[in-house]
Amino acid sequence: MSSFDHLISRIRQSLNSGAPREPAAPNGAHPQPIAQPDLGGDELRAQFVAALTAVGGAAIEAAGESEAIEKIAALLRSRAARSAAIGEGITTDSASAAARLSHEGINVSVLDTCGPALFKEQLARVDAGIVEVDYAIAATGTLVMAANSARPRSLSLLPPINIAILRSDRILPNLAAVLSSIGPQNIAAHPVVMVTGPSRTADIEKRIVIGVHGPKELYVALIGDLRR
Amino acid sequence: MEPSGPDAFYAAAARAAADRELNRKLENASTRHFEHLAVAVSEFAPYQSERDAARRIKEESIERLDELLAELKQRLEARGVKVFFAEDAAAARDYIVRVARQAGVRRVVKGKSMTTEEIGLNPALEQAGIEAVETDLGEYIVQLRREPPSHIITPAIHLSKEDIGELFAEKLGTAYTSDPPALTAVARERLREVFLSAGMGITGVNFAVAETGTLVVVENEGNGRFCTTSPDIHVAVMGIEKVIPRFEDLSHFLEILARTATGQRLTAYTSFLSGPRAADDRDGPRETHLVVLDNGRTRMLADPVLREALYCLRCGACLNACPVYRHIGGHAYKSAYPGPIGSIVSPSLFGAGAAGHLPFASTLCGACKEVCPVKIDIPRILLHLRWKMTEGGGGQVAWPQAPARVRAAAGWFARAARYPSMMRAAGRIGAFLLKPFGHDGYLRRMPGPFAAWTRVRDFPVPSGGNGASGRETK
Amino acid sequence: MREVTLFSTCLGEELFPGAVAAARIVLQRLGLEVKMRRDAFCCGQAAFNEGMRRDAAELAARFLDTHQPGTALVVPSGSCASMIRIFYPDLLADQPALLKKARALIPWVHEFSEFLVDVLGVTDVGASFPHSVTYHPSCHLLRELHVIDAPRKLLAQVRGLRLCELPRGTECCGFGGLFSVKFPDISAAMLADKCKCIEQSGAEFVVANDGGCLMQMGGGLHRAHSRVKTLHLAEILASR
Repeated sequence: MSSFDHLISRIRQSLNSGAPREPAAPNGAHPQPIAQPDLGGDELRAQFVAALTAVGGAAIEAAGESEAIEKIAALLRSRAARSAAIGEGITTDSASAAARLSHEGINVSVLDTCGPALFKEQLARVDAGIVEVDYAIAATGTLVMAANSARPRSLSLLPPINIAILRSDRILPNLAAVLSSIGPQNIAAHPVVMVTGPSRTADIEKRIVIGVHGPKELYVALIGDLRR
Repeated sequence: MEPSGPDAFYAAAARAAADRELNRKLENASTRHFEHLAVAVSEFAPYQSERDAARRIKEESIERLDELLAELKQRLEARGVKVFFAEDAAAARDYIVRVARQAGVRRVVKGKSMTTEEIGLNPALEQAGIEAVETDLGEYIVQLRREPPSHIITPAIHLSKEDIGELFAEKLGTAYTSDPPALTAVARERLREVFLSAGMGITGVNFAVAETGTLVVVENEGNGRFCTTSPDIHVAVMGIEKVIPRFEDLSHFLEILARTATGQRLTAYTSFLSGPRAADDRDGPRETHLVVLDNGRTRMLADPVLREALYCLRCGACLNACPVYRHIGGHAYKSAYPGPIGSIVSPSLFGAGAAGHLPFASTLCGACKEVCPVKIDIPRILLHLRWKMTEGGGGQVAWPQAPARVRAAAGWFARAARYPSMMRAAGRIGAFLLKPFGHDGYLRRMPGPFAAWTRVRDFPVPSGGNGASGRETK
Repeated sequence: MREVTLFSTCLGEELFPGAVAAARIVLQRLGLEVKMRRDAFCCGQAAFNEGMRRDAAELAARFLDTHQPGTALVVPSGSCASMIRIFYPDLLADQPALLKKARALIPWVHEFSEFLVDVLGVTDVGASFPHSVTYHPSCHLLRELHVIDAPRKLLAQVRGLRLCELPRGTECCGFGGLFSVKFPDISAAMLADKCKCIEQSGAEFVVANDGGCLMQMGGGLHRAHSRVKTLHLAEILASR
């Protein structure tokens, strides 16, 4: 018998030794995810920006892709960042974004063919990681990133500045909505990380400090109609 | 860390209880925690209903544990994750050391994991010549002090920022500062190189989803992400109780976990891990191992009252809520799991001889139950364990002389109390004898088992039952 | 005239007869006929809490023989009331006959302040107590029985009484039954904090509805030469 079979038999014995086992709940009898508040796009956007700000992130609002890249370039200059790495876009064109940023004097890494070791070394020296995210959660200011080879997880982890590109129609009201949009199939295929603000700790006297091992700064370039 | 019987607890608890500075630090930290928690809960209307939902899913998970673990194993193995089932701490340690040795790993980075504290992993790695570096800031701090963590969420809760400043100056040679951001920056700088050079990352697991084979790791500092993406090998360690049925169930847990543990809406990072990297991936581990640990948990499962302890999310709120914990700190418990939750799980994990006294070290005030996100009835379980350690066949506690006498006296009292008129007569005699020694209604010294009472406070002079209660009216 | 039974509790009989007498007076003034049974001395809480369930069950059996459903049973102690209401079913789970008796009695069992406010609907008992008072909610009353407002409502109606807020009021005083003598160092540290908070409240009296808390806080305050005195809620409500 394998260690697994041993364990399972111990579990069965233990479960049967107590009160009689209740039959498994019928399908659908388990608690359902909480309802999604019915909010319009503007409200979701405003809620997201407020929640992001509350956790120490900042939003850069832009009407379109090119305005967003302009603003990212300006941000990088103002933060004295000289280098950046950019992941493959989902809806945006990262090649042209890279070209625009290079034109602004930023040294943009193209993370295409290098292997894991070299990639890590390269990325560890870069000032800013730029990556488009799949979803955002309005209620919590959270960014949801599914990783793949062209949008590796380290992009939002190693560089001290993390810039996320987000289409405002990708903002969903709450966590339950995001989990149901990702769905069980996708989560099994890709590692996903949810990011809620820059890295933080409260390990010293429960005082909040921003910027531990992950990024110290988090910006979200929010692309969408600005109904001002 | 393992408890080692009541004597060590008594000595450590007495020392810690007299340490007013320790109490001040713990009070400050937990006051701050509950301030944050109150805000996080008040702005989230469904908090109470989400607690109930999370509890129901935990009930279901434990009820279906065999089936869910089988499903989890199958999903993970299909993606190349190596799943190992460890019957006890030694089996888990040996497996992890073997994996590290076979891969020639010299340095391991660790994310915060109480389960690895429970199995004593770090000493085992060190013995095998493998450096194990704790990377959570609090864990890093206590590791520098060569101490175990004193809290399951805030490992260095027993230290002030000044303590930590002195520690860093001494051990790391940095200029003294007590500024938390500056201290944090030191740890970031020191550990960055360690992350990039480590051959193995070891983390705990907050939730394992059977349906999808997903391991969920919740953290704030980014160290958990480093441990699970940077080294070539990732080893995740979890107790058998961490499995949940469905992916969608996660929303209920994630909505309450951070709010309760740290007063955040969500932690900075929630990683959903699927296993080793794909052929063309640039990062992520080449190998992923999951160690699933029993180590006494099936004993808890077999006891219908104790089973509820397996619902615990390890949020740490009950520690902060517990007045005993706040007065003696985590180290006095000498268990990887201190505080109320520790007192209900430690006897099963470490044995009655080692930890059977812990369920008694509580006033049963119920503050723990009130804050528990999944509403574990900790006082009821404490009472159940006290019974098990007394007459329920759960093993014996080697009580020191003084508490043993108190227990004996309690037994006499209970048997004598069956005879009310005898008790009243004894009360009158006692009152008669003691009355001359009273000072405005109180006695400064009492004999026998009451001596422990008057060591620290006065005792009201017994009345001899001569109040209005003495007359029966029918 | 309605009839109630008042259970004096073991601590009440031996250490706080004044509190029991006061509870009786308050109930009588409200026009109730108060009966007291001499056949049960203790509810068994101390033994139960120590894991001595055989002894506790003996006392519970005696208690359930003595007290019958049909008459309200008023208990001037939060922890004794919760022993009966919350923990008797656990204690007697394996003894169907006793369990049945316990379940029948439970709806009739009320803590003193809860009985006045929630059962009788009374908050003003005509008391007068021209002093400053702070209220310590005992843990079992608060977190097992969930009696939160009743004592405060009663105190609010007492003539001349000034209610002072107790800092960190809901925190345990460190009594915990045998805990207080088995772990005296921890108990003393908790008590020291409680006494400090009581002093900070600025009150002349600290009031609680539980003999255990009164013993602990009273003993701690007296040892520290504090001028603050302890009283059972009933003693204030009986004052005129």
